[in-house]
Amino acid sequence: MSEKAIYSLVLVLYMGLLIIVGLLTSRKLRNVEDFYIGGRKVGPWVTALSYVAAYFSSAVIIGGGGFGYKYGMATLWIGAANVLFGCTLAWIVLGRRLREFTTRLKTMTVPGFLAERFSAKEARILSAVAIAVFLVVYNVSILKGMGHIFEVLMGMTCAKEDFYLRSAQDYGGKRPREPSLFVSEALDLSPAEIKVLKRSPLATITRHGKANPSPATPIEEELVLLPRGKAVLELSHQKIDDYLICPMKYRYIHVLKVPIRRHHAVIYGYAIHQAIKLYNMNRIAGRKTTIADLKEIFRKAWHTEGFLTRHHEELRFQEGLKALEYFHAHASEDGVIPTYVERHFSFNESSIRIVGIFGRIDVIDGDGTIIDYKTSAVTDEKQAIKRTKESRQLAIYALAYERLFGNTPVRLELRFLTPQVIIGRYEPSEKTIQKALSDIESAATGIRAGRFPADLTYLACTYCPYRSICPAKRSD
Amino acid sequence: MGPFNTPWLTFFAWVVITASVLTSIVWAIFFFKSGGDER
Repeated sequence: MSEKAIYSLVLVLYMGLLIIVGLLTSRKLRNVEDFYIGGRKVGPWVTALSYVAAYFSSAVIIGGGGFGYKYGMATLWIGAANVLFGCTLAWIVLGRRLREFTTRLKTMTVPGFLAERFSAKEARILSAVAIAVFLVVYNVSILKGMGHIFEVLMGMTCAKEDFYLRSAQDYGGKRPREPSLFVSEALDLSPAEIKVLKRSPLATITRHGKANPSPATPIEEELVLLPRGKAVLELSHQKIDDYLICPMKYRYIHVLKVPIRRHHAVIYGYAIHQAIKLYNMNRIAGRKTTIADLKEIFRKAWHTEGFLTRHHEELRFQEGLKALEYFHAHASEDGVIPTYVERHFSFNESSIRIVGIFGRIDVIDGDGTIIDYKTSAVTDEKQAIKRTKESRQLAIYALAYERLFGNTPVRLELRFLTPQVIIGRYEPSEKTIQKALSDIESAATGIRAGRFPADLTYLACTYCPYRSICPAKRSD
Repeated sequence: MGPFNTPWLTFFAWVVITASVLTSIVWAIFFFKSGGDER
């Protein structure tokens, strides 16, 4: 049975059940009181369940979840206020009093109660109006929530990847037409945000000139009229890097998720990182790590995948052991205890969520240094410094550090295990942060707009793992 | 969420929720045990 059939069946069964209950109970009803408040004979369980069903709506179920995702655990405060005032105090303070009053005054609704209690007709009207006004606003949020649920559960648009809404300025009348409001409402955008493409002058002439059987010149601009939805876009430095190197590569990795065999450098880097991670964590905990421990971790994290030959793998493995020896010697001599190791971070930049993991942060007298270990080769310190300065990852990490700790890190470091340890140091400036921001912005804009053209520069294309399947690849 | 987003205050919110729920349950048990509004 298809998903749609199941959903339809559930809805039909539910509606049917409601009708049956209605028909069966209609015979027992004697007056309005029976219909609205069950003749005042409803027990505790039914009262509690119907209260919860009425009180907790999509505002809580969807809104609360969304809020929690966006703002974190502090969202609990909304729940706390609701439970304390809306449930506990409402019942303990108001529950019995209201019940006794309404029984005595023979009313069923809050406006009715207010009118009878204070012998004032105006109270009934005023409270009824207040309820009517606010229920409209409230219902909008609930209907919108329900709409989202239906959209997600049933894929109401049926569009899998792209969904085009088109409109024309010229339908043959005298005035140019605006895009229908439906477009802006459907996409949750203000009408001003919808860009209207200008026709080329040639197309205009063709349209207004004499009947011309040849088709008008096609519009050459890219046909991306509308930005994608405003949902939070989650990006890591890796994703941003992939996009800025080649948008087409980003599409293969993160949109289409085309699986590829892992590159041997990834296996090597991963195993080394695992060993370093253990070393630094032990350092924080005040435990000693021997070279044998490091080698053991390295061996365990090693996978036989992607190497060119058996001999190549053995060579790389031995190189890794050597690099760890150098690392161990360097770290013992250095003696600095890291402040954070493998610290996760996430922060929101307008509607982009940037996530990542700091490999290591050293904070000495309030001065932070962000350190990342690299297994790629550099020949000397000059090259290491150049790589550090150019590192998009470190620039984004500097921004993350600033957002998290409120001040800019004083130093960014890449430590290359080549196998000797070569360190590239760099002091980030306002320019570094601005660069990171503009990189994030340009990647996010492109990804949101669904623009994934291939970048055919030599470096991007020649070393791309998707080269063999990419139709746009460079031919040289 | 500004000043509310600290671990301790978040924990406090959780305490408020738990305390409210427990109070409600205890109150309801006593209320209905003693005959509800029929008294």
